[in-house]
Parts: sequence; C-alpha cells; structure tokens
Amino acid sequence: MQTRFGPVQVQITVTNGKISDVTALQLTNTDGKSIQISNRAAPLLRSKVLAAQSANVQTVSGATITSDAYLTSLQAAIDAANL
Amino acid sequence: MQQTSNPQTETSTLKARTFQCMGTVIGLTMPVSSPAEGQPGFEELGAATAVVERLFRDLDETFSLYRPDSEASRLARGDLRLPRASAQMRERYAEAHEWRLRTEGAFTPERPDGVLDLSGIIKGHAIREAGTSLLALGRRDWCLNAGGDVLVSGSPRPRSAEPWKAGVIDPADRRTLITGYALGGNNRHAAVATSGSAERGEHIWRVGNDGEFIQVTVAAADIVTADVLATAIVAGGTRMLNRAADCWDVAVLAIRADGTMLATPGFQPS
Repeated sequence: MQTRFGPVQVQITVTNGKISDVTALQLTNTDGKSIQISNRAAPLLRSKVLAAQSANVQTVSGATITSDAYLTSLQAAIDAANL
Repeated sequence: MQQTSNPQTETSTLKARTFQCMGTVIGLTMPVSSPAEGQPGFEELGAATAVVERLFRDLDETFSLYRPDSEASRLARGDLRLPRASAQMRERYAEAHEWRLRTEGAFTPERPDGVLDLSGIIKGHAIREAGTSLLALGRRDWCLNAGGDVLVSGSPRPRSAEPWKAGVIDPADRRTLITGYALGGNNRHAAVATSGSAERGEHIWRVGNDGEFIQVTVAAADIVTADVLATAIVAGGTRMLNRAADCWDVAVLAIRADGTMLATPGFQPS
C-alpha cells in the first residue's frame, strides 16, 4: 500500500472471510531501503530553542486575540514597523 | 537602506496593511520594491489588501454568530434548515464534519448545546481563499496573518529561497516568543496556526482530558489543516497529538500549563 512515507508492505490475516489482523512487514522509502518514520512528539527544553529560532521574525503565531489585545501585541509592533 | 550581498536581488522593503474583521486583526505583508505612497509596488499592496478584506467581510456576513441577521444565526435559531442553506454553508458544514470524523470528535462543528458553530473552520477557510485570490492576482510573495494564524507564499526577499520566519508566542508572557518556525522557502509547510485553551469564543470543546495543553501550534502545508489540528489537540490532549503526528504531515509544538513542552521533530532544534 502507498503511504506518504513511501510503499509499505503489509500482511493481512483472514479468519472466516474477514480480516482479523494487519501487520506492517516493512517500511521502505522510494529506494527500497527501510526508514524510520517516527514523527512523534518528544519533550523539548526551553533553553534549547529560545535564542536562535525566535530572532528576526516577520510574523507571529499565537492563539486568536481580540482587536483590542492586538494593540499591545508583538504582531502589532511588527506591523507598525512595516507601515 | 542596507545593501544586500546579492547584486541581482532587487532592493525591497517589507510593507504591511491591516484591517479588523471576525473580531480580530488581519494583516497582509509583502516585499515592496517602491515603498513610497503613490508608487506602483506600494499600490499593489493596497489593492491586494482590499481583495483580502472584501473576502473576509463577505464570509463574516454569512458565518458570524455575532450578527443576528447572518445565515449562520438563522440556522442557529432554527429559522433555516441546513438542507435549504446556501451551497457555501453546506460545503463548510461538510468540511467541518469530515474533520470531526478524522479527529475522532476532537474537532467538532457543534457546540455542547447542539448549535451549529462553524467559527472553528471559517477563519482558516477565509485565509485559504484569500491566499488563492492573491495568487490569482499574480502576487507571489506575501505573508497573511489572521489573528495569529499564518499562511505564506514565496519569500520575504523576492526571487530567493529565503523562508518567512514565524515566531510562536510564549503563553506565559505574550510579549515574548518561545521559538520560531521557517515557513515556505524549502519547507513544504506554508501555514502555521496556534490554539489556546483560553481562546476567544471558546469554540474548543474538551473530549475527556483535563486541559493538558494550554497552547498548541501546528505547521502544515495548508492553513485549514494547521488550524483544525491545533484546535483538536488542545481539546484532545496527547492522544490527539500522537494521532496528528502519525496521520498528517505536520510539525507540532504543545505547551503544558507548567511550561513544559512536547515537540515533533519539525520543532526540535536540528
């Protein structure tokens, strides 16, 4: 079967005409080599991310704020600098 | 203005225009080559913003539950039945319902009192439609931010692969950023959306978790996926976070009330 990670070979077990089990046998990329596919979340330490990645941004993502709250937001400061 | 190192790159300046709609502020930012009032590049930004604003206002008129005369309000009161609603209303309902199935109920278009509430999907839809309109106008490089949900195209520096850089708000101190994420450029993710547990409108209905995350940020190729999954993970906790990471091509940053964070590889420092 095709997945976004490439083709995946699966084994199905049929019992009394119904699929009773599906097992992924091998995960491969387009070259046919096995790959690790975990996109799972892991703990992230604040000290690891802060400095480098938050500098010089052009826009800000945050939970939806009201028009009033916008006035004192970082996004408002960036927009004002680009007027 | 500072000289750029690449002589082939035309000097341009980022310019932004904002307007208010849907209870928040929407901003369009574009690199402009002639940043003076009355100059062609500058006027292009004004024209592009007008198109985006028209689109947001039209959708708000139809879908706002804050307007008693809107189609959404007539549906909520029972004056209008869904099968007789406009095509765009039925399409958005179908899309929201599809997301409810895909997220196993973590995202839902209905309030606990049974009232149909599509506000969880309309802003993302408006951003998506605005992006399509901007591309149709021939605008290649822009960044559209609607109340903290962001969709970009191209680059802040025209004809370069430089990505747009989006900062993520620190929920503990909204004047600071907790991290950044590169959108566009060589990244297939062009959209990022953030949901919080104390969000305006409270369109997040919890499904059996005790408010595990206070803020969730999702980056994806399209804004509706990013927006819906951010909402779903706030409502559904770690279970929904794992499901999103397994089933969609997304990067997720989830922050707990105590400040600890979970991040998929896309948000981990390389």
